[in-house]
Amino acid sequence: MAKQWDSIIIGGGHNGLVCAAYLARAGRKVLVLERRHVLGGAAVTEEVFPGFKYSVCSYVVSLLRPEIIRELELPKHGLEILPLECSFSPHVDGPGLVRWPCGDKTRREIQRFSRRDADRYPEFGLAMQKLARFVKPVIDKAAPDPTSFRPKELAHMLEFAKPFRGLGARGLHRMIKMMSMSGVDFLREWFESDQLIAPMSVSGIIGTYLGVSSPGTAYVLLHHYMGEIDGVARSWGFSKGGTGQISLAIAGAARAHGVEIMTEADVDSIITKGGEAVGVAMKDGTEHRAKTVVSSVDPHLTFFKLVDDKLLPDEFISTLKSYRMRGSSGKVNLCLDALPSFTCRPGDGLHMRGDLAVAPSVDYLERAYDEAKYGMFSRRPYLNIVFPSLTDSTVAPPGKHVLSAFVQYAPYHLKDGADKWPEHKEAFGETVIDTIEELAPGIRDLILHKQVLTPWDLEKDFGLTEGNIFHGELSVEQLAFLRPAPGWAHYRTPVRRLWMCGSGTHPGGGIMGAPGKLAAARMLEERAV
Amino acid sequence: MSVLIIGAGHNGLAAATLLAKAGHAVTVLEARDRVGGLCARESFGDQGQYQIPGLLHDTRGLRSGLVDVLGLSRHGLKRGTPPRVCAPCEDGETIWLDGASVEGADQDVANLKRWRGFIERLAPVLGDVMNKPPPDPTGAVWPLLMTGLKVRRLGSADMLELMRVAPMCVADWMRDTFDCERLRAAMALSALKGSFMGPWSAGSAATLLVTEATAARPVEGGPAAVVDALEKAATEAGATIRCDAPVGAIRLSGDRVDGVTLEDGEVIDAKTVLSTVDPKQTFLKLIDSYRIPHELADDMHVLRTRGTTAKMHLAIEGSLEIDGIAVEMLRTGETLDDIERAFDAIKYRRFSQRPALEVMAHPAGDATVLSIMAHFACHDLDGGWDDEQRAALGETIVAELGRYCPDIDERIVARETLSPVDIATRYRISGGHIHHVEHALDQLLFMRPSVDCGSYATPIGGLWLGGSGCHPGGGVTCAPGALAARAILS
Repeated sequence: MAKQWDSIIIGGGHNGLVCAAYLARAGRKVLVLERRHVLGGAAVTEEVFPGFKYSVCSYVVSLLRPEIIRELELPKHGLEILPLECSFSPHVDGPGLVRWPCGDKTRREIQRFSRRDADRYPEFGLAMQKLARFVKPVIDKAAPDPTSFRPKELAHMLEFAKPFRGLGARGLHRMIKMMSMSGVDFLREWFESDQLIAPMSVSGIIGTYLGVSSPGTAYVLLHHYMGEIDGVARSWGFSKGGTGQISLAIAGAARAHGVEIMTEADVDSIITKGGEAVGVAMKDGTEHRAKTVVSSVDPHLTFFKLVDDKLLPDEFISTLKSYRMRGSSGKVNLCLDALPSFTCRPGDGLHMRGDLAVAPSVDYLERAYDEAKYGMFSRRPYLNIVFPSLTDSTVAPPGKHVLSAFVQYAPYHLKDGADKWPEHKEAFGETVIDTIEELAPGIRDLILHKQVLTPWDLEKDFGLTEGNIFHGELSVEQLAFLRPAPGWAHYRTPVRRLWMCGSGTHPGGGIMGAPGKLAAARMLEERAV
Repeated sequence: MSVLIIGAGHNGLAAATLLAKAGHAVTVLEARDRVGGLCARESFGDQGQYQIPGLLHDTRGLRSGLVDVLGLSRHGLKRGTPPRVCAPCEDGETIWLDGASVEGADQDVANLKRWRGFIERLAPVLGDVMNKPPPDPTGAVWPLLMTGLKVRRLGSADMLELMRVAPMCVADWMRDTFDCERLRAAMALSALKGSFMGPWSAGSAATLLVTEATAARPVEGGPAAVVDALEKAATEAGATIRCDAPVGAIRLSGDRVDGVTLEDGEVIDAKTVLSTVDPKQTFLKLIDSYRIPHELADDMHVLRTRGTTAKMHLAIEGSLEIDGIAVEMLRTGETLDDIERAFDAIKYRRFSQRPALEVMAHPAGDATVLSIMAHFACHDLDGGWDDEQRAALGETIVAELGRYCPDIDERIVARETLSPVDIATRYRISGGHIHHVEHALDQLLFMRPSVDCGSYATPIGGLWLGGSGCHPGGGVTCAPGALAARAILS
């Protein structure tokens, strides 16, 4: 009866599926267990309302590793990426700002606020690309372990450090600025207009519990210059059919390599014998046995829910307890009868086809953060909005549209307790709609359906502990060899034969697929499977 | 060789002593009527009858190695006992913090010991970095490896903890370490002096780590006592100190320094000039900016020197008491969030309505003089600082103190409030920043104040930097001045 697998992967999100595909590609027998009825985890497309099929959580693609696309032949399995045309920041009064892929058009836009900024904008892009080239190799390799004296690890360390020395003192200084400064301070070294700085700075706060003036938020600006869809630097994109299509394409590739995937397969616990993982017990009472178990769910879920904590060293438990995964964002998806019109740029147009950042000023963003710090969702939040229905006809019925808004800040830990979120959910949704209404009056009347996801919902429905979309905050002390715990950054865990491959491992969250790939590579390299 | 030193603060005097001892003809030029800079003794009150031993008040950072080298003990410098820190609560128990022991937070007695132990184990490694010129990351590999090796010798656990803690925010670190919120807040406050950071800002943990790891016992008599000893040491070594001699310009000839011109027009020649005033002033005011490399000029323009601290001096009748016990040092800001709220104000170019205070009490006969560091007040206040704003700032500080000492208002016999702009004006510091340049990772080590002059030499021949704007930064340490003097001598 019970089949003996080489590996069982817990969680059918993009990282779990990538890991499965790579293990199967190397000839291993792999089983993927997904709790929900759909695959994809947070990279999922669902038809919540009849006729509307959209990305429920994660909504844009940028850092999906090109090797993964190539090696798993994802286009063959249905992956198609549509470029985001531009980035639009609407204002209540004032012209708003649209940044286009075309330099001249962007220049004219920025000139309305500052001639000096318009001049410096292309220069800034070049400087960032230069830095991005240095950082890129970091996310494609496992993190080095600075505590190890093994020659291999020492060599790895040096390899890591080498390019940084090549930067020279001034380049290194710029790199350190990038890694440690706040997005706003960093941008203010280049630019003067708040209308440009505010929408540029927000890329550093997505999914973090930080404000745009918090040190450490400049780094993520680089990611915008690392996007590499189809080899085009800087472009971000939509996945045709929603982000769920990415997961389905990876699942297709995995199946083609022989992976078996079960949905509605709810894992209750990891079975161990003599301190080794030997399989999983399901909620329905059945069991699956394997030589290795790989968890793609977050570290807190893995170690505090699925594993008997008697198997874990005390120190590991205490470090993991201080591993921070405070969720800070929510999602509001609106199905619309027609396209809304923004006061500052009325009507339909190319400016609607990219992403839309409600980030009118630095003070606005800081106020939004301050409210969250003290345990309340922002009264006027930062929103990142897309209309996927404009570029992808599969999303909505003809003439209808989907507005998908990423909302920050929505702190998981409300002042009156996280479990009070259900009571605040309605007000939270209304706050978001009010915010958009101020910029696009009349949108409220266009709403056919609304779906509001609070961090509480993200935890309950998607298994993201504390609603953290990255399986743990992406702060420096939780990256590289410190993710998720010092000494355990190589996908291995204190439980033998239990591995990790989710966003809670290096290099972290987002639809990159890198943790899944690196975990599989490490397991194969160490002949663990 | 004749050397001119601009600024007779603690760093200028330390450098003067070392250079004069090595046989150079040293003249220190001080703009004010007294030596000491931020450590100078100040008087206030209608007849100037109350004295405060310096704008700064923490002397724990003074490097013991330098006390010996400069012979300061011989000139009367004495280490005292660390003040007992009182952290009062409006409704709740007061915490008394005394080095590694704490009263009022029983649950944290062991945690504090453990935390102190960690700091003490790190002290030699961090002290090493903070007492030497910054390592050059692009230079020889060997010194870098040696520093790396020292860190690794700490052992895996401490090393990983150091790497985990260093980039963190102090709020998270304190929450990981202590259970009592009042204790966490009291500890966190000392991390936030002179940086544009709240307890939730990443990097603030490192400030606390370095401050604590390099702290020794404080100096009896405060910063002014340090300056008294330094002045004697410098004079004995043969240095000339000229007060009321504000430098108007540094004169250049080609790409070399030629001397200085005082504001009254007096010209003084010298082939070596050490500036201990802040770097922005040095490069952007005292020198025509077209005479310096444009990259350095760019660095100076973006250097962050936003003053965030206000200072208040109060003379009160009787003593400062909490729960009937006389207080030496008091910290307000009851929770991490209270301090964070105080910080929020400066993001919006205001001053805190409930500032977090660090108060040092100096008994003066029947009265007590209070030296109050108030966090936070923005240098670039919306609408600008004027008498009305200054008075309002003073009121909020007194009100904050009044929450814990209800009768304080009636006992005040003299007061003086200094906004960051007042500090900038009186002490001639860009941005009124008590550390000259904000402490942030990208403005420390070889990057302080610029990669072009991170090891005290500047691109201008004969011009050196040696103030708080250089590695290892601000505070009453004397280290930047001494390291600059050594760089000149070598």
